[in-house]
Amino acid sequence: MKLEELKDWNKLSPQEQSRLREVYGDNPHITKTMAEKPPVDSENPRDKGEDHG
Amino acid sequence: MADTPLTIPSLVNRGKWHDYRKDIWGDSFNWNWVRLWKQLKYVVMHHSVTKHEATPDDIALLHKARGWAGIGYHFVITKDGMVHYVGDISTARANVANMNEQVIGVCLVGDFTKHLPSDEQIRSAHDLCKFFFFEAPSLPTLKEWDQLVGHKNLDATACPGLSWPVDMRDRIIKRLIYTPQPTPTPPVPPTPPPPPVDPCAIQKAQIVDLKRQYKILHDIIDKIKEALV
Repeated sequence: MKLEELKDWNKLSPQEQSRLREVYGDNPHITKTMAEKPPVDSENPRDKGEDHG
Repeated sequence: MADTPLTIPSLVNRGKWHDYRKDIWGDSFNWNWVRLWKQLKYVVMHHSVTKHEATPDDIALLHKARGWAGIGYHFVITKDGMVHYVGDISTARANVANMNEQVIGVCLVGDFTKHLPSDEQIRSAHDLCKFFFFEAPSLPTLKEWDQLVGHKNLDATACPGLSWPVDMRDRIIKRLIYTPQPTPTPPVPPTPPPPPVDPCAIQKAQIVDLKRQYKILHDIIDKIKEALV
């Protein structure tokens, strides 16, 4: 996966996109997805985690 | 809202502590969910896979692009050794899949498949971990260095780079930096002061010398007298 394929890439401003390209380049390791759905009984889950990365 | 202020004296005293939770992009106090202290099992080291000069904002920006609601780590340690507190430790964030409620996630900025952490990052990582294992009574399930792991120890990943666990983990545990330090030279014992001068001793030595000269002169006179007789 490339930076441009990240879920909300197109929501970033051109400046933000440029900064990420500068800092991360084409490094493939950024593709690792580490978020997950919060447990059902967790407190105050704001992010349901349906589609992380 | 989970708000767990932290004061870590070893970092504060070195000017390496920055509580950035309120100002960094995203939700640092609730996302991804609030957990219980007793769920904690590990302090996990990551690397950012960025340039060494990257900032916590850069990492947060990547997580924003992922579609997350906040940064995935609890702490980010930049090249200068500054520890940025970015995600409240009461929250399970997003840095080890399927284990996020069990970990405190620490991200060392840099790509350690290409270079090593800075000395300051090693020092600060040690001080941070030491606090959680030995100086934080409110976290009773974190109590020994064995609970310091790398991301690769819990998941299929190269994170945090080639030198983990040998020798980066050992260096963090021992606070052993990479740059050789000059061997301390043993202190030179002070030169003992000269003994005090005794004026009488000088006078005695002068008298002895005069007597010796007088005797020589007297012998010469005797020899002259003998020659004249």
